[in-house]
Amino acid sequence: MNIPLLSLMIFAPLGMFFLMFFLPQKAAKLHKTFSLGASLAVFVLSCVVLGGFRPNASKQFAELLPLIDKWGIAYNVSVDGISIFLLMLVTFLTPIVVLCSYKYITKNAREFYALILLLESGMIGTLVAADAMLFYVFWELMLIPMFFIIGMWGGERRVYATIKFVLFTLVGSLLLLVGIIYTAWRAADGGQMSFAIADLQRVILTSKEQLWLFGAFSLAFAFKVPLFPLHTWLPDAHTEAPTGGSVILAGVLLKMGVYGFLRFVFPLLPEASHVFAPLMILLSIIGIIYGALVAFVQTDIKKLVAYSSVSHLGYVMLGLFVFSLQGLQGGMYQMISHGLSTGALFLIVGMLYERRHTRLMAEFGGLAKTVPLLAVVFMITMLSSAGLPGLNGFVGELLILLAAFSASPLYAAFAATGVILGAVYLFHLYQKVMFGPITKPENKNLPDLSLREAIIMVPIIALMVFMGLFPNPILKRTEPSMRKVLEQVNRSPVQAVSSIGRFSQTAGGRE
Amino acid sequence: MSSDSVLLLPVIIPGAAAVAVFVCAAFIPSRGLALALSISSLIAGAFFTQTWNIPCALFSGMLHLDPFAELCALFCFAISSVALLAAPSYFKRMNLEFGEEYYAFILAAAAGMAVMVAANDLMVLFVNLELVSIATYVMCGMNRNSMKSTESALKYFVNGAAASAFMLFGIALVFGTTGSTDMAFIAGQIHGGNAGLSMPLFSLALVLIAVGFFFKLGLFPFHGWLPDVYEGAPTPVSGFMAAGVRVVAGLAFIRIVISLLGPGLGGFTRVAWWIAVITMTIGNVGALRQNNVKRMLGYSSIAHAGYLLIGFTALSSTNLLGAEAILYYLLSYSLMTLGIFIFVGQVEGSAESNLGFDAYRGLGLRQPLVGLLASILLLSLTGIPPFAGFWGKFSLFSAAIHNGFIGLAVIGALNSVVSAYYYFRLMVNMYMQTPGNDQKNVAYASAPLVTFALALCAALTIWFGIGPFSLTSIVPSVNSLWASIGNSVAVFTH
Repeated sequence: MNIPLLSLMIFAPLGMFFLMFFLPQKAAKLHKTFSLGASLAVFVLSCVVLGGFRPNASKQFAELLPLIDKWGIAYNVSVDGISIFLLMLVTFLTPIVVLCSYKYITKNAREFYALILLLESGMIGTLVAADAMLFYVFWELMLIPMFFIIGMWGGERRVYATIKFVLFTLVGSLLLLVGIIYTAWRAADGGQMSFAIADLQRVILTSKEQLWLFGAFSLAFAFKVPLFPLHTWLPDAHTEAPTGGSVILAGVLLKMGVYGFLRFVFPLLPEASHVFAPLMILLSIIGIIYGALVAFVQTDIKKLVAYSSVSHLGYVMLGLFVFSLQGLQGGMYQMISHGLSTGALFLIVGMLYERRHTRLMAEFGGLAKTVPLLAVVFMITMLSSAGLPGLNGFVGELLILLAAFSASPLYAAFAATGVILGAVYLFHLYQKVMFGPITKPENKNLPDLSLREAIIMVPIIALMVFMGLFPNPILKRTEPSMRKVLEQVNRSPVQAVSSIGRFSQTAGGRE
Repeated sequence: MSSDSVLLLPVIIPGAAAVAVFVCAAFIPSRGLALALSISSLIAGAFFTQTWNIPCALFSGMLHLDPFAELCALFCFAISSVALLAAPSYFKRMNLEFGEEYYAFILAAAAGMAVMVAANDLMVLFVNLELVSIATYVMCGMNRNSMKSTESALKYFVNGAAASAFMLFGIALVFGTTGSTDMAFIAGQIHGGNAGLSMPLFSLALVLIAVGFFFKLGLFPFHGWLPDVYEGAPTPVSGFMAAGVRVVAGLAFIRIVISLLGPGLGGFTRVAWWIAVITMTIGNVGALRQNNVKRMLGYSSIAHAGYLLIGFTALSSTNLLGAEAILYYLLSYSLMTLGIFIFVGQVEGSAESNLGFDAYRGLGLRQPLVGLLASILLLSLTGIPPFAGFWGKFSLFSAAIHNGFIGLAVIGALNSVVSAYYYFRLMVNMYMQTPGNDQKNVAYASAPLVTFALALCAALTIWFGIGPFSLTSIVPSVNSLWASIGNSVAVFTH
């Protein structure tokens, strides 16, 4: 039994992407069924991977195929505790995104679903790549479909939003490319080059190098996260993107930034990570509070949800940069639950938009009476996002706050403010939309959840509850890998110093 | 037939075909015949380039035939063929009463290019560069009804003639100081420490030669002619200039720099660093402001010349990375740029209409296949993986970083971001903007041969990116270049 599961997961959607263009353009139903089937099949594959996943820190389901010997670039994929649940998140959200676009996407539907599949392939590839160049190729592969998804099916300011998204991402990723190449040359140390991430992690860089490389790597990843003050592309992109695009952006693409920190920055640049930690923590906390405050004053529901992402991802980054197991685990958990709850919030915004063709809060009010089921779903999602105990959001936030507290009570105090503010803007939103008298006549006869919408929401809500009550199945599987990251990032500087001498003698380039 | 003549077949066949096309045109005025004759002669020429696989020197060392020359010549023929395929439909739509001259000139240029990449003698190099240039001057002005085309030809000719004069003067000075125009001999003199070569006169000579090449490549401060010339010339000719003429100048320049500079490489590197930075920035910033797609491509090709100079900066006597990067970058760049010029040429309407970005609105949705091909080329030009353009940038940055020019790699990377704006802008117009009334009917004029040429460029762009003919296969030809130079140096010094 040796099926290349990970390759199947990458190349099945890619193949389907090409196949989609052979379907007749008018056969709308066929496009939907085809892409839904493809994404569900990938989900099943990922479940098999999860089933076979052993809770240890090793690279599993590894496949290796050398590509360019001269540069040491290989097709090298594997999955470990850092990537496994993000992978599940991708494969879980993609069918939902397909399903939620059935009514929303009317023009060029074939191209839309094809691009979603291409995007899925890119996301899976980014997560399973164990070779830095392969990672980079897939990292850029995520950009192109998103560029078209926002630009072709987005709202009024879609062109502005998508160009901003592309340029911001490219600034980061091209510097990332330079950083990766530099690290690879250093790791080669005059010998055979290799871009395998494991080989890159072995090199011990000098402090000065680490600081520069931290700049290059973390800029790329911080743009994606996005860390305050690099977040300005996010509200535009999230708001202008079609519902499906927003769900993927918020649900998965933002996590790729955090994933980059865990995969590259911490293991490669431990010393610089510690040096920059106070700054990163400060920016995370500013992000938490700023995101929450700005979310509170939004009148557009979608913008509100977009800014809430800035706030929530601030927690994740805070959890990472206090360098404790709790923090890392909390960050990971928060990423997954944010993917679910914010994804669900965007879905609900999409549902409201499809009913009323507006996203302004003032246009709604009293919907709880007309659409009771939607109100229930919205309520659970909102509570999950606000971090109510018993739902998924709570576990991650609690772990992060505990970790932050043991690092410094001050961090925890500020971050906890964010929790309160989070509850404020979410409750405010819910109250404005769902409660109160029905002021607009259009709101009187809105249809409640359709069967399709229920099928979309039920699995998400079930997962929210499950993750809220039973965090262990996830935490148990991520722990060994997180421990390993922690060891790598806490590598004592003494070790590093002892090897600097060796490297500075043999370093290939001029300083 | 002597073995020397067999080795020269790749040059003789297209050259003879050029003459044949001219002569035939007088008696049998048939464009189809001319096209068939031209293409088949290029294919035959390309076939015989394989005789160059075993390194050897011809005409007492004036030509060095080696895998480097083989690869480059093969490429020149491919580019010329694509330029041939693209033209008939364009000229027909523009109502140009041109004869078969276009084919003949392209063939003449192709023969000149094939000699240039093998030339090991400054005079051979110069004469063939002139052959290529003069053919291009004429082609630029082929649209006689257009002021811009005439301006383009005149501007290119006057500037080009000045650059040639500089170069020739430089060659004369080299001959004066060394007594030879043989590059290998001169290289031997340099490495042997000939005292006469430290004279300012020799340095001046090298600077003058470099000026000539900088002009042909469109490098700062000799880039001013380029946007005007590209804008005015018939679009397939602009593509041929960008993909053929400039690329072959770049390839020949590798040989010059490696052979002639030797110990002087350090000084060249310092200058090249600055020129690279300024050129790519000027090109990119200039391109941002253009509303005419052809002008935008002109400026963007200045920027690409700047990226290319990153590779020249990273030329080092200890490793091949810089030369490999230049070679790979030139070959991949010429495919992408020729493809995109073909695309632009087919969208262009009569009397220079439909050249603005606005004209492209909605085009990608109306004509999905062509839109896809153009998008691939644009993404590759931006440097998005997995296309060839990405690996070109990768190898340039990699060479720069390895040789210690990290700052240059960072500046190059940031410049690529700027370039993303204008390349993506074309895609934005193609896919994301709603066409106005006067743009609804703008279309890519489908013609089987042209679409085939465009598809070929796009397919090769992908193939270079992910196929076996990627970075690795370039290495033998670069190695052979270094080996041939190294050997000749050894011969002369001992």
